[in-house]
Amino acid sequence: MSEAVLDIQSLRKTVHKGKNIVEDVSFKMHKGEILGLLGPNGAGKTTTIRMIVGLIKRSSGSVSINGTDMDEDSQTCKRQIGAIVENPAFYDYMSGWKNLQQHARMAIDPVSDERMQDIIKLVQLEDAIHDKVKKYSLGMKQRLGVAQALLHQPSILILDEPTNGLDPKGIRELRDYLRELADQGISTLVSSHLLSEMQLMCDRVVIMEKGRLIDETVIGELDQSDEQKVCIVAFQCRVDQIQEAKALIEADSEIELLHIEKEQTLVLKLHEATIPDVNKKFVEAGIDIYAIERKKTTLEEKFLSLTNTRNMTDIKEVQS
Amino acid sequence: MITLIQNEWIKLWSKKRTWIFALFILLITIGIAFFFKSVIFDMDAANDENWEQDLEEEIAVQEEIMADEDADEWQVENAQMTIQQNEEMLASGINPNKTNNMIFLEETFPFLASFITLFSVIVASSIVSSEIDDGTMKHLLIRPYPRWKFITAKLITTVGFSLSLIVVLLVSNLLIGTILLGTGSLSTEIMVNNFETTPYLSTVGEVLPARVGLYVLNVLMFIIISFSVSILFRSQTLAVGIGIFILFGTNIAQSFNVLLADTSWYQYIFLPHLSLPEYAIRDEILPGVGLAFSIMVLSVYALVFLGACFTYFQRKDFAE
Ligand SMILES: Nc1ncnc2c1ncn2[C@@H]1O[C@H](COP(=O)(O)OP(=O)(O)OP(=O)(O)O)[C@@H](O)[C@H]1O
Ligand SMILES: [Mg+2]
Repeated sequence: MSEAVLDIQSLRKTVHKGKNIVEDVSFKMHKGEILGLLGPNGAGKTTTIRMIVGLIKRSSGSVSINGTDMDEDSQTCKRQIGAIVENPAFYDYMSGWKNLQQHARMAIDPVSDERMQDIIKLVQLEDAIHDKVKKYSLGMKQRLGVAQALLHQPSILILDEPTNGLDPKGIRELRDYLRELADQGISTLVSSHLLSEMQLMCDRVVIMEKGRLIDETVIGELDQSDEQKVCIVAFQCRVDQIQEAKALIEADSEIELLHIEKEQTLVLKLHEATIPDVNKKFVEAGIDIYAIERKKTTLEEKFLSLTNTRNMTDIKEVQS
Repeated sequence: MITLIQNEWIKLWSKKRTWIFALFILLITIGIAFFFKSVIFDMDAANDENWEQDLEEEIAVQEEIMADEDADEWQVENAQMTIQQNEEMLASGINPNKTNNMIFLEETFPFLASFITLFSVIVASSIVSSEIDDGTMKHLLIRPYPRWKFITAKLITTVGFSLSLIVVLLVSNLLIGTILLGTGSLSTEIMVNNFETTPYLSTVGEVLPARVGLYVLNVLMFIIISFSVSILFRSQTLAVGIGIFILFGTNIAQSFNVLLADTSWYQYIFLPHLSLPEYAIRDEILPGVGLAFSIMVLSVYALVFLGACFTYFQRKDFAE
């Protein structure tokens, strides 16, 4: 493993009445890595990010960027960071272009107009860039936020819920772009409460709940051991064949039938590698399958069991 | 630092409000000029050779009032003042109906400048707090500059705004004054009446530059107070409110001056000192309180306000 570009050691934030809203959070991010910070609402993701970028003081703990301690030389550290914290906000009485210019001027290394054009093209705001930000939609603002964070060519990107307000196409583009940046050696810390998204976007995920880190998962490792990977898949058949299908599954000890939805969908827990076999089995038995849908993945299950929250069930939707 | 000031300047003038303020100063100056020409100064009377006679007639009328046993005390005082003034004018040959651009500027500056104070208070109160409210401040604070530089740039920009409005006022006033009322020179003689000593003769050149210079210091103090209050109390509204209160308060303070002049503490309050332009026509605003003392008191307040607000801003947690 290469040297950590971002090294967070035992971060803690104590608010009034001695309550710790972030406690003992430590993690490292490596060069070219996309690291997910996952947690339900109120877990302390934004608070952690605010402490990293210096918007709020750390009650204790340290942050170092490329080996430089934030307390010793915050200017050097901040030069290397590009960030969106919570919703990106802009001067809505100015155009997108003028907003970016404000940031371009603040960059220590000069930002050329060409660079601005490139970035704008990348986030696909060419058509609207000279309109007042007032007229932008949420997704357009999010794109402008990404452009702004990238403008000064930081080596570390910190994005707090960047997919908020983006349409599936926008999310995919962001994902592809972050991957491209990662290949160029730029590391990204991205927070989200949507696991499915994290899984597609990140190399590794750290999971937070109630201010603490509760787990760390390398997504790539999971993908490599596909044989072992257990997942939950829904097979939809006809109502009149459901009993037949059920009997077929119950005969197989490898597969666990979790429940039946709407009298026509079998929700199964099985090894990922066996999905085609199960399908074949249905077909051979003359059972017509209308849809196969992957429900939760193991990481999702893990996340759910760890964080134990109900409001995470919206996860399955965004599988763009 | 220069880039930060440049950014602030661009943001300020990208707002419609700023242009409305400048336009207002321009229009009200022109409006006042027409008002002066048609109502205050009777242009026919200016060409009237009998102005000396008119003054004498007025003296006669006032003498009757003084002789009247039923007259109130204030009427007598008023009459006395008018007589003195008229006699002085007769002695030095000043036609009160004659006017020119210099007299116009001298006489209207305090009134017109009070609008600049008002607008400066509004800008100073909102330049930091509006960015905090809109959420754009966090995008500034994560850039590699120490926090104090951002608010210093904002403070300097506000001062620049006030100075620009003063220039607009002076230039437009001189132009419209010249067009409507004719050219005068700095040596134009005027009567100075400060309601304390007997009216005395002076020239525009002696009074006006002092008035403008002192006004600049005065408005600087207003800016510092509103700016600091808006940051310390995190409230734009409160800061504007306090600024306007002080603006009117200084006029009210002048009536307290007589009442409280003898108390030992009153001269250490900043309120009475905030009518610095008064020093253009008198040496003391309170018994024993001269310009040097006023400036000293105001400087101490300015340092305390700025010290408190910079320290606070430097340490503040930005978690909005
Ligand atoms: N200044 C503060 N004082 C007290 N409590 C706070 C403060 N700021 C945040 N909190 C609390 O800390 C917790 C973590 O908040 P944070 O914004 O970091 O969560 P998050 O993980 O970003 O959640 P979300 O997914 O909703 O954005 C919340 O319960 C919040 O109420
Ligand atoms: Mg958050």
